[in-house]
Amino acid sequence: MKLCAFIRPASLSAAHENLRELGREGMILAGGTALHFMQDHTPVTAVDIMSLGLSFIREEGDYYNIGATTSLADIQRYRAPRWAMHEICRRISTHQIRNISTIGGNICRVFPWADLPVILLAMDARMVIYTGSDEEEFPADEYFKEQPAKRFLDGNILTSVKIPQLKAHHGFGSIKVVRAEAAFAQVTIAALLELDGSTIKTARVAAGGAIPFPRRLPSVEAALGGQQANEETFKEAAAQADADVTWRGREGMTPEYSRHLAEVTIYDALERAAAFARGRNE
Amino acid sequence: MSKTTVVGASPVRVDGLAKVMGSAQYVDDLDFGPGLLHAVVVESTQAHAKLKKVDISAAEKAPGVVRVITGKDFPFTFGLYMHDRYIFPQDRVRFVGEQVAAVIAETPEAALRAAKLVKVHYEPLPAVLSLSDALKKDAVLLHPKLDTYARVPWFYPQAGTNIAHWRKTRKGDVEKGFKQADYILEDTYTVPRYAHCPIEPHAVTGLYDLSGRLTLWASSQSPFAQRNVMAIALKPLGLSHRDIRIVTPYVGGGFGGKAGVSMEIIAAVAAIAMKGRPVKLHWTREQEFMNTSQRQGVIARVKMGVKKSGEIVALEHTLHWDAGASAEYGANVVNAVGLSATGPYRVPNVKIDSVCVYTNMPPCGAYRGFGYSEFHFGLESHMTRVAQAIGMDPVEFRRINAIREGDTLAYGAPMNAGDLQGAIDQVAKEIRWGKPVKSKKSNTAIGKGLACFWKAPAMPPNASSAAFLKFNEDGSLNLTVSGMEIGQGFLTVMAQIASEVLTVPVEKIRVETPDTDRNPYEWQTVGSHVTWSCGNAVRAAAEEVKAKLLATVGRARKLKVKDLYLADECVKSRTDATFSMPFREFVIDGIMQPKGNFIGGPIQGSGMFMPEFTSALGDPATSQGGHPNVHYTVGCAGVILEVDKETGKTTILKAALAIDAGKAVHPELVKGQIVGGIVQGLATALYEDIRYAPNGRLLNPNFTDYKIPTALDCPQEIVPIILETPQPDGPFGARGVAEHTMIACAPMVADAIADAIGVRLQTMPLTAEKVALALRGIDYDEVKGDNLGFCFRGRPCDYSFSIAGQ
Repeated sequence: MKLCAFIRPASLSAAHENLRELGREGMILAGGTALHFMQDHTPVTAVDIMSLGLSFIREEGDYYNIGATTSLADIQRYRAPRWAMHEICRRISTHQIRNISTIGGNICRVFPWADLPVILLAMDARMVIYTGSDEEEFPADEYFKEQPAKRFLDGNILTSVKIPQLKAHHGFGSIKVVRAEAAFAQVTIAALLELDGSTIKTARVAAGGAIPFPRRLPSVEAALGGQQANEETFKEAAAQADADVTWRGREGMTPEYSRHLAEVTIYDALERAAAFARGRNE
Repeated sequence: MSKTTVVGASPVRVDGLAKVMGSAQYVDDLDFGPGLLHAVVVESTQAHAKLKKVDISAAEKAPGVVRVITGKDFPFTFGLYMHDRYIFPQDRVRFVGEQVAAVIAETPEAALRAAKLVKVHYEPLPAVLSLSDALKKDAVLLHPKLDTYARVPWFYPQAGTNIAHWRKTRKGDVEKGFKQADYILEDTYTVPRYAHCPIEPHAVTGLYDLSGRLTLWASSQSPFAQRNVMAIALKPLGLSHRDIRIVTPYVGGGFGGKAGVSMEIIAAVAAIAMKGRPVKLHWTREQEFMNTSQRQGVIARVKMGVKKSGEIVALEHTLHWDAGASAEYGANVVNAVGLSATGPYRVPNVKIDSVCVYTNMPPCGAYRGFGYSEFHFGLESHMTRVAQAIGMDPVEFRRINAIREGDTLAYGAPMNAGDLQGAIDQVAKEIRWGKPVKSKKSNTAIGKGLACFWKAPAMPPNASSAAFLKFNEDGSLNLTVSGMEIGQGFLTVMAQIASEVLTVPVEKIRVETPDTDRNPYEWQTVGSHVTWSCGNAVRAAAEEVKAKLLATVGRARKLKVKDLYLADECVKSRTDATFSMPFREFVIDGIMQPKGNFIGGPIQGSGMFMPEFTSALGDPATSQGGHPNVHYTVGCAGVILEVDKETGKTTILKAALAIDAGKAVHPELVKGQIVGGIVQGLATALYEDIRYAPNGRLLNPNFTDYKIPTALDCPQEIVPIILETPQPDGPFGARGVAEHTMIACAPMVADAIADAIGVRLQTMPLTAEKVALALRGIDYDEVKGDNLGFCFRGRPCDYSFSIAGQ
């Protein structure tokens, strides 16, 4: 992208109008760190939405509602009962980047290495999009079905992300494997377990990193449903790591190692989720 | 050694405040006004090709462009030790990224746009991208005119081959030694290329003024070497040494990458092309990776023979180095290793072949450690394996063979003082060697590793230093030297040495960064040698100033000089406790006499240092007869680490390093070197992983894809240990302690991984992937693919080279 002009609209509706008029020549600016990876020379006008009051984290009913321009650093620092988002946010890039990178910017255009989509898929989060006249909510499965950037071509703006509040019978765990701490993920896995006693009632397991696009792993989930939440179950489920996806070489890794790492990481994420359900909350 | 007060203390760095406040200036900070022009280079897309035509017509007509220069304008070669590098290629390009032309324009954007309009017509040639291809009998030659290049007399290029230099060292009778051995182990180790990764990329602004004076403001470790190289290369243009001036402000890291000359000469010719206007050339991060120099990759074959008693009786060490398209600096790395590849051990029978090979890859050169990190990986891994094979503790094996003062080095000269035994003992104690640690986690294992190291500065025998000192009216001092402050604290150390002699506090001594017009000579800031070499020059200058202070006061006050001494910025008398003459009262204005006249005058001094005992003129077939190295610094490092048996990930729990500094002039800076060296060494061992495409294109020339560690990746605990066995010819006993601190990292990590989980890695980097796959019985060489560091292609055991005459 080649930034040719800059607009800071005073309201959400004005931003929507600006973006609608600009069409493909407009680009939402919500942190801007992704610009580094958009190195074509298409001239664009940046529409800065950082001053529209979209930086917040609120408890709303059964959800935590996170404003789209909330920085990853703010999410990392936030604490609430059974809050789990900080765990992944502190592993994304560096402090300097997390101070300016936002949750909205992170998931409006999804790069293969992105971590948050993995988390949001496992969490069954809901994305709220302003369409100019009202707001629409999209569940994560639908939102991340394909590249979300396509949803914003007509001026629509992501305004917030709603994270379900985890209950006592929920276990959540996420693991990001990196070569060096500030590196992109080799593999990221997130798992949400809904437990009935020691039995897994439902499971949502998502993956990212060494696959083309973040996605859920239904075969892993199927291996968990109705089973006891124990080591044996987790191992059997993790063994399904490549049932739904083909793991690629990434970050210098061979496909063989990616696949192995995925299996190990699925197991670790499930262990962490089980520990979360037992009361551990980092 | 006499007791010191300032040397051995750790005063605040003289450059500390400026750097903390952000007022320290680097080349890119300098303001050259609105007349500044900007240069952008056009780079080769081919690894090896004939250069048919460089069409600059469209670029010349582009808006804002003032000039486009090519090899037709400047058909010159250059080089530090051998003139095998072209400012712009003439008949062929030799690596992807080689600069074919430079566009000079009013703005960087205009230059960048126009550079894309330069059309380069190539006729591809077979590219030599591996050592085995380069060493084939009928290999394509990168430098058909190799035998015509000017070079130093101790380089031995092999005409008609791709061998730029071949250092042979022979001591005793290696075949006889192997016959005496009870056990022989032979194996291969590979180390890929690495990038320097200074935070500040290369930057130069050049001005060729109307009087014919060429001034370069450069981010450089080598202002005088650069002046010399450029004066020789640009002599056909009528330039000589007196016409060239190099000014170097603070440098944001070098690690060897800013030694010698690389892109600076393009800025020089761009400035010459635009007489009267300054021209700036600033490398991007991508260019910093591929278009300055890299650390050479090496394939090392080690054969060691030992007695049951643990005594090493023979060592054959054969190293083939991937120098890239030019070896003008890299061949000296190869040379240095060829002299020292026994490591810090007493070996009676030695055969070392260190072979510098051209390939169609980016040129390599100096990198922190100058080849020692590379060869220590194989040698120290081998030491542990040999010890274990004969049932001996690896630390005890090292103790038995550790070199001592007076032992005969591989090239025949005697070893200098140094407490390697003490270093081994202290590190072994620190990591509780011999006491296994069991992990509390079921999926991890803990291992320990220990490795010794040594290194000598690799310099020409006449690499010298000089210093000027002059007093100011208030008794403060200006010290000018041309060693470079590259973050290591050089300026502070020089101030300490002057302060120690003259009793002027460090904070009253201003040490200036180099300007070849104003500052005295220094060869280069490389090889961890400036504390020793330039420190000697500063001490000599300070002694000259001291002598003048005493003589002036003695003459003016009619006192015996032998009764006078310096203390507290005054000249004092041993025979008259009441006598005290502050420096500030006479160092400029002199001392008034009863008749109103003055004795004395501005007091200043100069000092120089030349290691007069060195000689590079050994026998080319054996290296015997010369004395190429000034001294070795020795030490030992150890590590405790944890390996995740599932992911293969290694976590460093503790690292300890002991080094014999001779005398730590500034102990806190020495500790800083130890911590920094360990982190950089661990980065090369665990994180950095350069990758090339099969066509020779660098795939990860950025910090997104080429990872260096952050604070979060650092060991949980680092223990620096300083030993002090004085270096007799060092200032206050000091010797170098900089590069050395990263040398042992890779082998100690490899040993500790093997100790933890039984997996022996012989190819760097020691990634989690290699560990995990090995644990699962998967052969990494089977699955690794093509887009990997050049030295990783094929199987290490397949690397065998037959070179005529070896």
